Amino acid sequence: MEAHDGIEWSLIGESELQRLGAIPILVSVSTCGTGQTEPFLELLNSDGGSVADFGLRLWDDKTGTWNPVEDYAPAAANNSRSRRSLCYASRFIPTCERADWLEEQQAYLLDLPTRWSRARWLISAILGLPRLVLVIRSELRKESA
Amino acid sequence: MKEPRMTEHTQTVLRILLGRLNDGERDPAVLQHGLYGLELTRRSGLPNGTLFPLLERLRKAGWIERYWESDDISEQAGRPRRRFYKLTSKGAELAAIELAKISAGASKPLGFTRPAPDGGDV
Repeated sequence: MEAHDGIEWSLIGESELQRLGAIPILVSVSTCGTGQTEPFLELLNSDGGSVADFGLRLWDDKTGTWNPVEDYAPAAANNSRSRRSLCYASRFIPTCERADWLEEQQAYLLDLPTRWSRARWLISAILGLPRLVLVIRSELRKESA
Repeated sequence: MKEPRMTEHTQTVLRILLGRLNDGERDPAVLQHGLYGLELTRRSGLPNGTLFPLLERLRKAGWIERYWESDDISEQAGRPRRRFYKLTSKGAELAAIELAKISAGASKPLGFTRPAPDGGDV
């Protein structure tokens, strides 16, 4: 068991897996260069498809139940996919700026109310990435010259 | 340091960061504290893919500076901290000059003269 935002979370239990008809479980933990550990739990059904509507759940020790992450942080649950995409995109950014850029962009994602607005933000961020990288790198080259 | 090109987008962002409102009023709080990235995109109408490279260029030119909101404020609000962008004193001075030049240029009549049919200028 690991602590996450004051709540204990762990892998989904065997009975829950049987109830969902989900056999394998894929757990990926990404630090995203921010130093924070973020749990991404993804259940796969017997056909290899993701049990998409399960989402991320947290184990609440007080009630002894699995609760949707929305109960604790509504925006965080909706954002997990966008945030992961940002993580991948951030790899193009020079190391010196990466963590700050990621933290900033992820913070704005949480402020955006709808899935559509988050998708638009994400696409625009990714499309603007080459230009941003160019500006950052051009300055790095000048500094090193 | 290379001065930034005064494109329309640059002018828009500088006007906002100078605290100039559409009705001609001024918002001194913006000039003093700046705005965070998302608010800047909302006010400027620029997509973030355009805005952030532009902010980075202005920052490299020394016109704007950025800072993280204090943890106390973000914790109190229950959200991650935001990054603010504000004009430096140099940036505020130069931006005001450049924008004044542009608006003066825009209001000045064009210096063309149309040749008259008899060969002289109209």
